[in-house]
Amino acid sequence: MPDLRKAFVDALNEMDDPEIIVVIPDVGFNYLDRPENKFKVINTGVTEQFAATFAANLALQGKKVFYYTMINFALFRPAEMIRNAVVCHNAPLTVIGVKGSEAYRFLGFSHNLLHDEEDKKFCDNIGLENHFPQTEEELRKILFSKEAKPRYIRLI
Amino acid sequence: MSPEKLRELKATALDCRKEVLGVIHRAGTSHLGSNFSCTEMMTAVFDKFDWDRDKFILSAGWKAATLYYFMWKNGRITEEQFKSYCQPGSDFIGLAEPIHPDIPFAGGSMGYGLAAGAAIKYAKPDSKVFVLESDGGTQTGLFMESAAFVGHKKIPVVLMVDYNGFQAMGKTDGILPTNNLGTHLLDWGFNVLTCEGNTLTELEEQLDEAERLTKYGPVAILCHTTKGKGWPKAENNNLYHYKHISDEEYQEALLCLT
Repeated sequence: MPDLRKAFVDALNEMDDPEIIVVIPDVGFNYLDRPENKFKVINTGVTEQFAATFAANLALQGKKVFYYTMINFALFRPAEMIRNAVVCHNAPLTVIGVKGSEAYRFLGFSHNLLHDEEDKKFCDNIGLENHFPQTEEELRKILFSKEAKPRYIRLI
Repeated sequence: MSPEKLRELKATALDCRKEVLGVIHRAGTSHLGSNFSCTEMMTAVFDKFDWDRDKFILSAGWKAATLYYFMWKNGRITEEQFKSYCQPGSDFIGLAEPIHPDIPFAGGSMGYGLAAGAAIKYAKPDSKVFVLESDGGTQTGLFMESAAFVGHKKIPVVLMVDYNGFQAMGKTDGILPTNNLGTHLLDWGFNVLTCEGNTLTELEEQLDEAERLTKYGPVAILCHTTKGKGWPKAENNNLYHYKHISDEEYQEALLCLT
């Protein structure tokens, strides 16, 4: 199974762009907290509604922004903010939804999808472009595309 | 504030109420009370506002007619656009949406403004950023999350709360009191000022003080206002949160706005 979290971090480091900001509501242990990372990380604490809105507005102001957290906290907890602040404002924000490891399933419905298409259907319902890369190459192709628009990427 | 300046700003506030009354009446829409409570707040802010540099986030988006008035009077939109308020086909609807660069973020759903303002200030530190929030809006989880972060990170925005004591279903005191808001904001790391929010001299003093204090971090100004201020029938009468204005009421209100 490819480690797409690592591939995500490696891609951002390769971009080496001072405008990149990753907004996290207190997640990303051992990936986003590495001191050698070349991008800015803003940890907002457990504030998904604020984090999604803040990230959307940073993107609207021209920063290259990723809102990164586990799928449920990326989409469902701040659902209105993803709809209103991201989609309805056409904020060029990339929402990253991380699927937990095998052991994560023991955290139950609050931390896991009810079915494997739950996030895709959510995104489709509100018109948020969505991607489900299965390999590092697929992920890199999406990340390195020059398009600036609202989108969701699931990291398996 | 000089007597001349005070006369000028009072005249602006009066004209604003007349024009806002007019467009709301013509459109057959609501939120007159909320627009009237914040008139002096926006009069004071926009008196020294640099429209090309600064940002104003109307978190209480239903006070849109008042915002559009100041956009018109400062040459940012035309009279025709202002008077198209809530008319068929108009972009200038009752909840301000980002249809113009001077409206950076929609304030329709409550509590968003401080998060938006924080991001704008973070990205554009040379801009002065003002957020106009309602006392009801401060009840939202989003507002509280935002205030905690903004205070902790000392993001120097100016948060103005239109503290008129009412929300959709009645007085805030009887629903979910916000009387400890000042204490909460202090705890979160804001400097907190208060004023009589329909008194221009007090507003100017507090805005000047807020500008000085933004050197140290965010500042909140709790502006104690009267909902419906300017038309006695509408003052502290929550009916005028919802009610459209009849022709008879329009004439009666105009007589009061002299």
